[in-house]
Amino acid sequence: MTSPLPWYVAGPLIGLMVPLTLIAVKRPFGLSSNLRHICAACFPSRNVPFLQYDWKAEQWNLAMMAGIMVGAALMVFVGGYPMDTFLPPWAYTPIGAVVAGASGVAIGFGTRYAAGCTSGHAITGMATGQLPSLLATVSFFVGGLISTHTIVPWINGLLGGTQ
Amino acid sequence: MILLRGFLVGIAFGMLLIGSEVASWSRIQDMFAFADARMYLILGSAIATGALGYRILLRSTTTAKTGDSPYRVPPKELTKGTIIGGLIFGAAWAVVGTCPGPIYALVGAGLWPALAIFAGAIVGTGLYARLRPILPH
Repeated sequence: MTSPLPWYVAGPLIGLMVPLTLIAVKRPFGLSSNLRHICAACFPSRNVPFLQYDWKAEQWNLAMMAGIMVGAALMVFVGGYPMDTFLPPWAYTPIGAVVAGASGVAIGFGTRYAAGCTSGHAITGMATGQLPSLLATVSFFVGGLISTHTIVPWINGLLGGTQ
Repeated sequence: MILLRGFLVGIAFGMLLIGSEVASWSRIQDMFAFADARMYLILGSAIATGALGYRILLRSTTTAKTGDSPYRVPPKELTKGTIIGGLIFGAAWAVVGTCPGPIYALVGAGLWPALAIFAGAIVGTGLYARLRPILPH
């Protein structure tokens, strides 16, 4: 497969991750918690209570993260899926990689502060009728729209983001 | 076994993140520019399908003894962070086009700048863990 799935196939399959994850591991589907598990496993600090918890009980989530990496690798290295639009062209420049890394910092900080990301809030939380997730999802989009109309054109223009 | 099952669901989701192109920066740019309905249709149909699947799962697993299902997702907490953190994440999502799931997928796909995003995301999470006591919640 080298061309995108139609939305009406992709959307429902993504939605099925909610019941599928519950059936498979009896836990809600969500992916940003892995970043916390990695911090807790690699940098356990006694004076950071947020990282003092039994991350080993959440290893299924790290296994899911590993699976995502393998699944994506299969699509690209076995299936030959073209990846040229998956990251901004500027990300491949040294300065761009720094901007990408800084964006990563904001993604890690923001998703943990909001206690969830697109999978945990926008998909799982919305599908299970949770008001905090609706507010989180609205916040994701408001934040995205603000940067789309402020820093995004500036970054793309400065670093060469238009294709 | 739970690890294997998590891993297998992950493989399916990793393939979907690429095949649906929701992990694509240009798709996210189009989404925030309202240039293409695709991402909204995917998200909307994902939520609808997830909600339907969840309802069916709850109904078919509700026990008479407890009157509830062991699969019920616990309620999420609403804090100031839900909004503030959400705005920060959203702002960065529009810049680089990746949320956490796609970060892992793009690392697996061998796109090297994704390693910088991944490392940054770990640093950002650690930063939150450190600053958490002084942040408004």
